[in-house]
Amino acid sequence: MGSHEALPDAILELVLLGLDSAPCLLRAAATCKRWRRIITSDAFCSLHKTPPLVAGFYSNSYHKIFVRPRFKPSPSAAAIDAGSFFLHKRLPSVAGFFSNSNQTIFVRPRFEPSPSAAIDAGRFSLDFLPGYDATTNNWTIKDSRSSLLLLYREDSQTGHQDLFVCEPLTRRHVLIPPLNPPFRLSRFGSPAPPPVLLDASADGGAIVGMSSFRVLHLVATTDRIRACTFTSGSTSWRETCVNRRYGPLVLHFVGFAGGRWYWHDGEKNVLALDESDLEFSTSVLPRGDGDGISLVTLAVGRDGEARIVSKGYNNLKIFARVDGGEDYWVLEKTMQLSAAMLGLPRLDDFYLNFSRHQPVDAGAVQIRVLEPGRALRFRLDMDTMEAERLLGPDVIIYLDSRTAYPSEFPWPLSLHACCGDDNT
Amino acid sequence: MASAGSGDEKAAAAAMITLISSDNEKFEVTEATATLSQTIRHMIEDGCTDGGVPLPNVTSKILARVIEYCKKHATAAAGEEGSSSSFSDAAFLEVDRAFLEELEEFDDAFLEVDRATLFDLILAANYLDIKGLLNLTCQKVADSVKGKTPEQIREMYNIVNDLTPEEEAEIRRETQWAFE
Repeated sequence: MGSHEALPDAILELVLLGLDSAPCLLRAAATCKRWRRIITSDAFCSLHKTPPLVAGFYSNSYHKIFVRPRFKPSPSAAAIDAGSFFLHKRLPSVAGFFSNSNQTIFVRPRFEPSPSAAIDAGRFSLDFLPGYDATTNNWTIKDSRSSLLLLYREDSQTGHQDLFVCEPLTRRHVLIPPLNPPFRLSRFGSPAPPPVLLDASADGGAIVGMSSFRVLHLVATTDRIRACTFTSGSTSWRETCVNRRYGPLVLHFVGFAGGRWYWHDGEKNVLALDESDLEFSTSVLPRGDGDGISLVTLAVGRDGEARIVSKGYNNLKIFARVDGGEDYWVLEKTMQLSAAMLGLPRLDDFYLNFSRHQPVDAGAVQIRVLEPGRALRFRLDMDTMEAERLLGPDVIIYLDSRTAYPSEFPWPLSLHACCGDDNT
Repeated sequence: MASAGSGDEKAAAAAMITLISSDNEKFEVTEATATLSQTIRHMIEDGCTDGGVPLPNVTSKILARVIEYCKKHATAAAGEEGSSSSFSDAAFLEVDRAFLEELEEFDDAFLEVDRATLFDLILAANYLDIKGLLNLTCQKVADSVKGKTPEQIREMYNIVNDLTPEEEAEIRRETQWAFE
């Protein structure tokens, strides 16, 4: 009596679903074959996957340091090394110029563990990255996916830039080969869309890990847009490009849905990139009654197709894509928001919830309403227009108004042997 | 509570159901108590409870405990319904809170049993389809596993380690962080 064998699988599964942190689950999976089999089953993964695996959130933390004048020798004085300039006071021509260095702020990621993570936050330190402690290096998180982080390193003295993908808990990292021309990112966030971390394969079947990921980076120049993808294990980037046919240089990444990534130029143009063949397509949003479409996010309809949701004054406009010779979007629905609908005493303004990855909630849009000291999340059904208050932590939360990047516990490949093939 | 006809004054008015354990002991309970079990609710709906409900999978020892749980939770449910009309909102909330606290205390005390009994309660809750009791007891087992090493878990639940040394090493290699 008292042996686990007394419990049938379905009940043991119910017991194990009560484990709310990944470390506890992994230890349970290491007890015997039966427990491992149940924990790694598809059914268990789909029931249990999302919340307990989020270990915490990284955010980019900006630190001020002293402004120090920097000396840059002029080309003609190249023979003099910068350090010995003061010994050569009497040199006739201008040897170089002092300027205030831009090394006024340096960036380091900061980690905040989830309350249920049950693990020492110190394990999420990124100090294993090469040159992490050098104050001349700025480290900015550009994206996170599962247990991986996409980091951008910029040497504020030399301007040298690198991209890294790393897994904090297992302290592994990969240096992504340079692009030509170089990345030209910014540690402060830039108008160019940041690179994103993706699943290794277009069908979404493989589990994201250090040996299975892709990086997608969009490089926009005045005349064309290049989509560059790097796949783990390879040695170079793969590229496709499209000619620009519209003006603004700004492209906002709005999300991924129905096998395509979407960017929006802040006006009426939408750029899409097909995940499987990396072909670009452009489309336009209808011009409404004079009001521009500036803030948009992506949602997925119940049909699995993408919807572009734009925010207006206390309303949401939902656009559906029409596949014809010319690619365009039509206004499918306008959702009027009211305080009563959300069960709030008043409604001044709201924000669109933005997801960098596939929105999982088909047929719904998520919004946030900020109240003093708290953010309320709501799920709006695109068909019935019903609003439902969501509890629990945001998937994307904002700490000090900056993006928080969720970091999940790496789910070991040995436990993937019989799970994960049909998660899509 | 163990013999037929020992109901309280309320039970006299309410419909009574007789439950028969595997060792043939009879328990008379109110319909409100019995219908916390979906299995019994369906039997009542189908009108096949005359002459008692035989529960061949549940011993009298376990059935007594299950009935204790159902009685408490049925009273709590009835109390919530009944009190809403006779109290002001604030008073109602106060009563509500007190009820929930009392219920939690009851549940905690209820779960203070040895592992064999806990497993028997899980199996009975599953067979009788009493969702609250099933969740409560399963979570109790899950909580006992939290923070334990695989060795400690095996010892607690008499689990034979049938993983090969290679399989175990493989899991550990990839998840060293979870084992420290």
